[in-house]
Amino acid sequence: MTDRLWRAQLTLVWAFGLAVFLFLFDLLGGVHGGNSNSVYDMVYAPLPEGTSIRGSIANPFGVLTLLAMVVAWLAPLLAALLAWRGRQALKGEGEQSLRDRIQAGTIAAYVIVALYLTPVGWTLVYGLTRWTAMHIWGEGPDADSLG
Amino acid sequence: MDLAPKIHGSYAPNVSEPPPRFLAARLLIAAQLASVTLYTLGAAVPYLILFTFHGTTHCSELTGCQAPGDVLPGPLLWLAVPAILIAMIGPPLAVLSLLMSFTSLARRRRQMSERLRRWMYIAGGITVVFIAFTLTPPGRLLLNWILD
Repeated sequence: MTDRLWRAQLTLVWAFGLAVFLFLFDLLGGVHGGNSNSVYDMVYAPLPEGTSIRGSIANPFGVLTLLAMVVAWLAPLLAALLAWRGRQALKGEGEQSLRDRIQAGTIAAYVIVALYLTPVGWTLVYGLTRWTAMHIWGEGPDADSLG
Repeated sequence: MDLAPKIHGSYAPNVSEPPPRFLAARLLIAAQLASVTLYTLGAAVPYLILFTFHGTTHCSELTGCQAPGDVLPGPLLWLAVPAILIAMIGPPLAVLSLLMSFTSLARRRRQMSERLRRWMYIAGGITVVFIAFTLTPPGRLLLNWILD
């Protein structure tokens, strides 16, 4: 049972939380698929008829989305690892305050793993990946020819 | 060079240290509960009274789309101003507040009083429900009304 394990768990939780933060922010601003306003359409549906978006690698918002995408892809693996490590650590002896922290971190890691078994996790991954691609390469039939 | 006097041991030896007050945790609870309350009172309840109970949405064929400014009387519009802000940037900020709740509970939940801990869990739970609601169709409808 070490402080390093707790720090890793805390970093995971904050990284995952910030990825969700950026997902919600992307949902608020920017261009989305579909004609309705349901979150499902905004993430999964194609752009409205006749709409194209020009991508640019220089878009600062795109870089943040890219980072969030990397976190969203790696989070389930890291969460599974840190949940397991936390479980192992909690079987041993340790200082009470460290035990408390690792217990909380382990529960949080389990919650993150569980989220990836629901549409919440997949939507996070799909949405952030699609918006990253959209920011960099654009989307739609005229994406390349837009000035 | 460090000019501040070094204090060794207790600053006042005969006075016991006061228990921690958890001011930041209390502020966090207040902010979470206040934003959900303002959202409910300023956006959700007016929408229910103005449109949903009449069986319409804010966009109808007779009147076109009505923004909050068109339908809310003067004083109520002031209540809607914070609700508008919360509906727009509330969900992402609520995620940040949940991260802070988690960090604070993980580190110091044993030092907190039973009551404070319970309120942290309640406020956190209500905030999760708030984020989930804003992502559902009725939540998106409210956001669109506000952005009109």
